[in-house]
Amino acid sequence: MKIIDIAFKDLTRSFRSAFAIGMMVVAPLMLTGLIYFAFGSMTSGDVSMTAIKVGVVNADQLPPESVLDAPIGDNIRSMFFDESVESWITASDYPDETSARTAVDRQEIGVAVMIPQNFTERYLSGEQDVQVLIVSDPTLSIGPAVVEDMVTMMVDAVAGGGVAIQTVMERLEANGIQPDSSQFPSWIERYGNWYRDFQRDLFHHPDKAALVLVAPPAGDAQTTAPLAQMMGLTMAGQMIFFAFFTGGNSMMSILREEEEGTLARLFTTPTSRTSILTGKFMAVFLTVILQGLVLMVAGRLAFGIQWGSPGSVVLALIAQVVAASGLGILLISFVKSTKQGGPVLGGGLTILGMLGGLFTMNIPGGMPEAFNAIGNFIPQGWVLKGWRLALDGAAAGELLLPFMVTVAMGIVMFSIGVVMFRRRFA
Amino acid sequence: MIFDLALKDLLQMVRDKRSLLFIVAMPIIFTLFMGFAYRGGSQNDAEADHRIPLALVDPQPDSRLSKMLFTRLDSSDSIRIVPMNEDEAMNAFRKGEVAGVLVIPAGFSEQAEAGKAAQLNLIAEASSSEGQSLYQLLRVPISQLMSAVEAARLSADVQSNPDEYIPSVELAWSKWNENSKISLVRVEQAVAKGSESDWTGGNPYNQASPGILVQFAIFGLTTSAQILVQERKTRTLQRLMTTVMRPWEIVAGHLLAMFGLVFLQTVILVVFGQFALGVDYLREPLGTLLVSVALGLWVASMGLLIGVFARTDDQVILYSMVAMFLFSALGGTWFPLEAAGGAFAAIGRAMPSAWAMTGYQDILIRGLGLDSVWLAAGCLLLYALGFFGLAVWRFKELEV
Amino acid sequence: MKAIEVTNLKKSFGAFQAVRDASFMADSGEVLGLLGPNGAGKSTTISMLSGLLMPTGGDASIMGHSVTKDPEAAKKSLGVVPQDVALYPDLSARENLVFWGKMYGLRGAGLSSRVDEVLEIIGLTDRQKDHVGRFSGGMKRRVNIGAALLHKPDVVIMDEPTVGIDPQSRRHILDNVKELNQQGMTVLYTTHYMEEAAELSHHIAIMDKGRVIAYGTHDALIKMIGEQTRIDLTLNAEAEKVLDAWRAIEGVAGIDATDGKVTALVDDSNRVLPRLFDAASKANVRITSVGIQEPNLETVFLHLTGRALRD
Repeated sequence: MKIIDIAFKDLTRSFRSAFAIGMMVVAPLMLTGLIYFAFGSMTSGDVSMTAIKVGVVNADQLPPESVLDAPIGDNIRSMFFDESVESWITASDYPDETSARTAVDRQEIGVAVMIPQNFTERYLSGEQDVQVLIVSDPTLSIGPAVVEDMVTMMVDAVAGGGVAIQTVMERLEANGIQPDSSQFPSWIERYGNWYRDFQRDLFHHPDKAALVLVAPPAGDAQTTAPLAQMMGLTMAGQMIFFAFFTGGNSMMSILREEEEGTLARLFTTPTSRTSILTGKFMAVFLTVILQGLVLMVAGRLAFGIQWGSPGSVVLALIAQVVAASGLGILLISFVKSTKQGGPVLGGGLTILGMLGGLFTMNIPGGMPEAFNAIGNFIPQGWVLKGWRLALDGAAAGELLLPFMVTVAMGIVMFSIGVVMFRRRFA
Repeated sequence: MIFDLALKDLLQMVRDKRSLLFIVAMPIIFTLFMGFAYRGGSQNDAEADHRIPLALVDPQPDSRLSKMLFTRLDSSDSIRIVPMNEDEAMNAFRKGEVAGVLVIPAGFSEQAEAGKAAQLNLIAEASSSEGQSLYQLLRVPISQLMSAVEAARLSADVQSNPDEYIPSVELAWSKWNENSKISLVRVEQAVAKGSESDWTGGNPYNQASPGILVQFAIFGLTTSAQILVQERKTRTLQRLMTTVMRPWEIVAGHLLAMFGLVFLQTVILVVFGQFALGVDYLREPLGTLLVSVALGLWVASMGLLIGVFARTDDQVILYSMVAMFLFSALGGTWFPLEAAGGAFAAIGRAMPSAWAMTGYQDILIRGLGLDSVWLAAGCLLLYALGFFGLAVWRFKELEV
Repeated sequence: MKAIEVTNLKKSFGAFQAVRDASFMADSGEVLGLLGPNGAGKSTTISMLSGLLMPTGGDASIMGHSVTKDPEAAKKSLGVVPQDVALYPDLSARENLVFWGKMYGLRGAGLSSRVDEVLEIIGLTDRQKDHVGRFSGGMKRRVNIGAALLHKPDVVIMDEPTVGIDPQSRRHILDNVKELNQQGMTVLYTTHYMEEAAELSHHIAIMDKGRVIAYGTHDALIKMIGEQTRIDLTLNAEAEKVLDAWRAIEGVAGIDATDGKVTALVDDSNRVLPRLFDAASKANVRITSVGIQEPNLETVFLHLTGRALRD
């Protein structure tokens, strides 16, 4: 009973501390909330990113007697002024390259598209060094990539038309047939229609697209929206980081009691030291469990995060609790005062979190292999593996490996921590 | 007397080893880590294959279109093809040995060549950058392949001879292969040095260093705000107010100390960035100085505000953390604002942290000069004045 | 069976001997004062009796239970009021008392009613729901005492409970100690204020440099030094000029000179004082102030150690 009394007393003190509540619940929710605010609208498919400001310099002209109705440059330019893109591209015309470059320098636009003079004529005559120049603000990445993609697609469309016409012509000539130039428009029209339908299906009709991105096979809890998955992973990362912080901070109660004098007072009562320590450990476990549950419910209600199947979630949460509590107990067993505890917890857990991959889950390009290998020795890394699997909808059985490794790590850390504490308070 | 008070504060801060850890060690570690992350691989390991591994599941590898596609993908600089059966492929995907699985279903060639809808499935993590990259990288060759098929069908139809299809598709595909070696689009970054095209301006630390610098400058609030809280707790502030020092002088002394601490940290990180990471802060030393001073004044005034509002050390940490998270995230130190939603980005651009980032980026990435940073510095100073004004007002209301 | 029995208790910290062969005892129902200057070893002795430190040698018992062999049983009979307030500032007075009561094995309705009683005893019934962190120093000390009384211990150890508090609260605490004793509790009261020891204690043990240098009733201790009176004199010249002459005066038991102040222990101040003045006059030494102190524990300490209790 005394163990429960001590645990309950510690829990009461924790939940009365604004700081503890702030670190346990408010901070992770706030961080995830910020990410949600930044990207959340995109989880519902509404890609309402900041509009890309594009400046277009179109010096292209149609060569005389061209088979085309309009210069290629006009097609490229009109792409940016089309009403279908006006919600995410703000386009403006510039008279020349100098004015466009100046606009980029002044950050009036993010990307300038320069279509050179006689682009159409030079391209159709087979010149290989004719290019559309894209000049971008070096601090931007998405906007320039999107514009480059659009221009490439448009140029590819033209190139495709060229390939089609050349193929037909060369095959006719190979068979001794003289190509009829009056047929070119119909060939171009047929190819153009095909290309238009092909691109439309590719981007808007996944059931007919030539290439479709499919999520890996998973259980019922899987979400297919990529940004929703990102939110889940982000929240999991925050929950893991702050769970480990809570584990350590809760165990710091023993240092606080030592400094307050109440620990010595406890030792003067007919309460064994084992009971006292056990009560404190129990408080740590209970606090981390409660924190995890609160964050999971909040994540579900506020951000729509699907944590996974019940079995997977239970395993991932237990692993998190055991590891976070164990590491917290271990770290604090080496600390002599609350003043030392701050940097050990703050600095140590941040570094372990980094090495465990909690802050780099969504970095473009991923992390080097060596870094990923280090994560295998970090408890946070294994907890993250478990949550990744759960969020991906994996069945409980698939979590057994990370679960067992994490729990084993937690037990080892807990045991060392217990030995250290018993020696200290013998 | 203001300087005496400031010196006393600085001495207290510097004697606290814990604060030294957060002021110096942590930002350096973070900068190294994040720059390493953005670099995305070991630069020293020139022989390592950095292509994205892709499992290819094709029950009919000898079909015409399969062979054509395989040849193109196999010569890619960005994708490493690994032919596997379906079970092996899914297993490899789960273990992380491949980033995706491209499944060419049976009958794909026949259906495509007959003009029917034919679909290739790319199994990958849509939320991962590798998954998205694979999709983008496959879209072009597959689009070109299908274009070649259409060109061949057109050619056969023009000659009303189905036998024309095969030589036509081979011809069209060879033209695409030639065409893919020519780039019709050239990308250039404005004002950046060199011809690198990645968005970090050539040096991944160009993004990481100023981002961490701004973020940890804000976190330096904790140390400086705690001084004020400690003064109230130990009643030394009360004692100060019984001396000849006027309230504004006390505030100024504390502000000077907080500014000194943040500026010192900024200098350390600038020097570290310059000489250890190759981040060229000193290409425009006055500009860097101006932004750093303005940043320091803004952070110091915010620290002062937190110090007058907070009553305990724990409150200081909590308020400082909230400020750090809010200003760091909104200011674009964690991720570029252009990647965020419209409302978030619009609010973020107005944040002082975003102005600080802009100032540093103008120098480091855009390669601009002193003129370009006046606006950023001016905005930071305006924010500093605002926070300072609030802090002074609150200080006067304080019951010591 | 003695309530407290300490036999040849020793405690060393490395080469430093904090407590050396301390022996004293207290009968049930008495107040034992443990008097000594700072650093005498009082707190170390208390810590050993409370079970916080393990003795290096010797033993002690509380109500017959050895603190080394049967510490749990000893603790059940013991209530400890630590020198510094040891309470949870973010729990209310009631919550603190309930918790500490539970640590002594009290439960349920019995605990609740006992907490009510103790709150009444310490005079904080109307503040029981307030967080202890918001209490004044005196109030905190009262709760600090209350927490040690919940389980109605046979023995209460109070470690310098009046240090740093105002005279009114101090008076309150001293009256509390007397009340507790009247209810049958044995109290071990440590202090460096001799007047407290004199007022409260049935027996007094004087500690210095880790040893119990005297033990007995107040009167017995005074008699130990022969009921000598202490005369404090301040001179206008070097004391050496007149010390020899004074030592030779009949009735002077001892002379101590420090920093221009001379302390003389005499049998009869009325008889000896004029002779002191006479000798000083002959030596051309002027006595600028005189203080006469009837024998007390300070004198006893001075006699035994050659130092003042407050040094």
